[in-house]
Amino acid sequence: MRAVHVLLGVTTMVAIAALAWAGVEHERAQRGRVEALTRSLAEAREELTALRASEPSAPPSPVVIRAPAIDARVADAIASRVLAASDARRRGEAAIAAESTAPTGSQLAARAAAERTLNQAIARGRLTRDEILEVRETLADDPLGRAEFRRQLAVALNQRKLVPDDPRLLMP
Amino acid sequence: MMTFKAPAAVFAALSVIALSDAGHAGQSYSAGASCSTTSNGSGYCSGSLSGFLASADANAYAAFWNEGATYGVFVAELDGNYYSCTTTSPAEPWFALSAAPPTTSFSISWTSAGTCSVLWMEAGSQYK
Repeated sequence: MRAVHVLLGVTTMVAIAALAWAGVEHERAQRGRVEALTRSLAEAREELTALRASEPSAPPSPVVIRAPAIDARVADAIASRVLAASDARRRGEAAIAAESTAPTGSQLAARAAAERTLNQAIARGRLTRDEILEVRETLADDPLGRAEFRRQLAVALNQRKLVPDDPRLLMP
Repeated sequence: MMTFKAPAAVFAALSVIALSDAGHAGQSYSAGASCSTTSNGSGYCSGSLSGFLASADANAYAAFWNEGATYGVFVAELDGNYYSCTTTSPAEPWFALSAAPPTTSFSISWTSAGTCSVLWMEAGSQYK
């Protein structure tokens, strides 16, 4: 009986010792993990600080939105439509420009009348106030004709071919 | 003690006046008015709008005007002669001159075809 008691006591002590050792080992392992995590955090903090120091005003990364890929035939069809529309618009603009720059019959007649007035003034060497007002009225709806008349008048003035009667009214 | 204060105050006032006068020193002259053409009609005008106004010619004047951004006309009269040019592409100074003081110095030249070729302008403290 005594031997059994001794055996039980030894077994109990061994078991307690084993449990104690296991607890110590577990605690040591936990502490090691905590230390490893702490080191990782410290390293990450240092890297972040160094990054901020090297790029103080680095902009945030742009967000890139990628369009879904489309079939090559669809892309060709879209491109040809865009080109066709662009070409049509160009042709339209050219037609509008040609129409807006081409003088009308009445504008041509007005320009011819203004030119006659200028030639008569040059022949006399004088440009009257009434003639300037008349040309202003004649070319009122024709900015290009007015511009050309003024240029011709400028040439006549610079070449001393005429002087205006009224120095305060020089251009139509 | 009071007898010394009055001369000191007078001296200080005179010093301030003298310094103030010195602050107005500096160049001051008119850009004037002059125009010239060659036999084919090309030429130039230079000076300032105020210079034309101050000319001995009572009829003298110079003017820049524009119709929108794509057309401008220059006209001037000086000593009984008329000068003019037109442009379909007014340079930037053309519009700047409209807002500049009349003392601003300018120079404009033109071709025999009556087309304005070069427009130069200068704003300076010396121009009056």
